[in-house]
Amino acid sequence: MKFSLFYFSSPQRFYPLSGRLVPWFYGLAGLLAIAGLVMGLLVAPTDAQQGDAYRIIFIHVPTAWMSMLVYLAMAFWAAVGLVFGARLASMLALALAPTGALMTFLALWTGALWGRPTWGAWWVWDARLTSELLLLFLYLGFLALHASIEDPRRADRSAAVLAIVGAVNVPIIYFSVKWWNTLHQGASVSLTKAPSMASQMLSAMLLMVFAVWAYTIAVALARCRTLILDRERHTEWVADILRNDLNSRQPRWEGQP
Amino acid sequence: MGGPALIYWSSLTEFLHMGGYGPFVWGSFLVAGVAMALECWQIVQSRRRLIAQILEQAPASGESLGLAAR
Repeated sequence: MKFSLFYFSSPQRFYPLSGRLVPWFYGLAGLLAIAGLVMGLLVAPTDAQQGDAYRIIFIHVPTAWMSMLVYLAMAFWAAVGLVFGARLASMLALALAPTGALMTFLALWTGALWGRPTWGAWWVWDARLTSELLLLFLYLGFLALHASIEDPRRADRSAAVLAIVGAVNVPIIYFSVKWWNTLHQGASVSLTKAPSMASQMLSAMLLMVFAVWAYTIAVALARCRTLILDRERHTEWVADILRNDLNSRQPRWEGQP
Repeated sequence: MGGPALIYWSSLTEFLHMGGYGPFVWGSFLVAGVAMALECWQIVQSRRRLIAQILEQAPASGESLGLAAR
């Protein structure tokens, strides 16, 4: 049998596949988060310069990385949906947006709580922070624009243009600490040089990064499934699924008072 | 608390105090945890609402859903 990536690009085929994947990613996220939290909050020693305030890194960096990655994924799927007219790709983009906005909010929130004890300020208008705030507005703008257009396919196309244009902001966020003088510290971990962290701290952070990855995949797939049901509600296969769902639940309902 | 070598803290109070940064550290992790829990809850709720709405909204297609038959 020839394997094709496009096999699962049909909502009807993607729906059951994603349904099987979601619990696994939730479980994986939970296990990784427990391991990462134990490592980061219980095992890792304190930091010589920043004291225990540094432990915020274990939630700040994963959410901040994710806020950028989710945006790139969202813009990518939105572009695929726009160029190839792939319905599922547009739904994936829309499913990613709220989680991306949440990750951006959490990066800003934890950043403020980290900035206050280490810089003495909750917020400064520097390049890194301002471009991350702009990212939050891009997510909210994407969602608001999509919600304001009634026809879903037209909404997909308009929002996709916004997502693609806004993608310029992501490299700006990433390189802002190099391009401008900023209060924000440089990257703790990069592909080109050895990490400037103790091994326990590094492993705790990577565990949390993978936990947030797994979490994001789980919630985005789960949200996408609801979008599929909504948009395909008049099709026979959705009717089949809902019928089976009801029939499998019915006996238990009847057994209860 | 457990093994002295493995766990960095010597008491629960010390752990919660986080070297004086307790509110900042816990404020970060708790808000993140609560926000993600709320997101999961919202996803489950909107799915339930949608399914209820589809079933309710289709008196004619209730036939096609096989609901009338039962």
